[in-house]
Amino acid sequence: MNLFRSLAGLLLAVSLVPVALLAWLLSRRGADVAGPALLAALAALVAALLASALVARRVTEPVRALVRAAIEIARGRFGREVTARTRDELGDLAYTFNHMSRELASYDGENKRLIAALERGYLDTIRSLASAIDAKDPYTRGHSERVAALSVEIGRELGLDAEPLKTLEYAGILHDIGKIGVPEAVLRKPDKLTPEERTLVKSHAPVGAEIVEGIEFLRSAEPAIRHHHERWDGGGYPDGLAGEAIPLVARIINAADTWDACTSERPYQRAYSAPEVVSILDSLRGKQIDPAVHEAILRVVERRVAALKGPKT
Amino acid sequence: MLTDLLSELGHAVVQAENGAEAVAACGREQPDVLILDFLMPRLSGLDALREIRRTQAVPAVLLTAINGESLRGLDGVEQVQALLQKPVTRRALERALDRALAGGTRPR
Repeated sequence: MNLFRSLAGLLLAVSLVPVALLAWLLSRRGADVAGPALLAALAALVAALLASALVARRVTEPVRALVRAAIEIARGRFGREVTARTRDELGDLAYTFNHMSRELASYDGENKRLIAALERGYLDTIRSLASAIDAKDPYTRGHSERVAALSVEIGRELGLDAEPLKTLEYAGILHDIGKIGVPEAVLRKPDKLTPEERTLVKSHAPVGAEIVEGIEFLRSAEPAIRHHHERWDGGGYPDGLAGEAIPLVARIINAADTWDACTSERPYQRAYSAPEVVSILDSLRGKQIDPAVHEAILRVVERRVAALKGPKT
Repeated sequence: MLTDLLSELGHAVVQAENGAEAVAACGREQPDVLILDFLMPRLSGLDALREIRRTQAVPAVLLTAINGESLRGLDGVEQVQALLQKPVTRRALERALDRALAGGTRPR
């Protein structure tokens, strides 16, 4: 039973009592007035029906509007308001409801601002952590930031949501954090590494993953850090994963890492030009780099080069 | 509007934008009577009053558009000396102020 039907029914039942009483009284006075009396009773009945429906609607319509607005607020659309037409308790309900809705919206906005400020604080902290690693090796200064920025751009190009984009940013900044355990002499060595040194360098991926494992808000970055040296063909480290078994975020960071390593000067190599790096990436497609990520990074790089040249005149 | 009416009645008025400001202003101004809006952002008039009463025993009028009957039994409403219904008329304002300043303890 809905409110409209119960209210209308109640009003109708109450108004039927005098109508019935009137009809009964008139019909007792003789057959000559029975006809008109019945007609009058019928007219009164119709009037009562209309009036009941009208009054019931005045109550139920605002209640239904409130129900709809309450549902909207429950769905997170804070600030949703209803229009208050009457100056009675129903109007008061709408008025206080609207106040509540505005307050919820304002608390919600404040919470969002606080969360954003906290996240900025976190990000600053991990940035300084990462720059401590970059500082160990003058050749990689700014490397982590650049890999993070490029990874996010590639992720966006691939249509990723906000959550994996955030993972890309964190993991990009921290992907080499495990190098904290690798001696500087090895990191800066221009010559070929010995097998022992090679093992040491390779350990930076799982070590980095272990470092962030204990930090709640960085946990999503852990697989990306662990697997950023896996290869699409399965020949990478530390686990030799291949293809889709490698987390997508790790595949993206791998490609961005390769791009940045090739475009910057390293103890063991000169910095390559953009066209040279593009052909290097082409040769790695399907071997080291995921073909889909390869296409995305090329589009991103192309856009960057176009932006550098400025708009065509 | 309310400020104009109060000035016409010969009162000096200090305005506050919200509940928190009202609490701060009370500390500075030591008013004879408070007129508090019931529904204010962040701090309801009743919560602001509770805060103010911690330090001063100033009588209070609660200003609201809501039917007074609906407020009966609401937590904190017993601290108020008079209710003033919106929209405010000069007569209702005078009556509410009289009631508050006379030290009535029960809201109308």
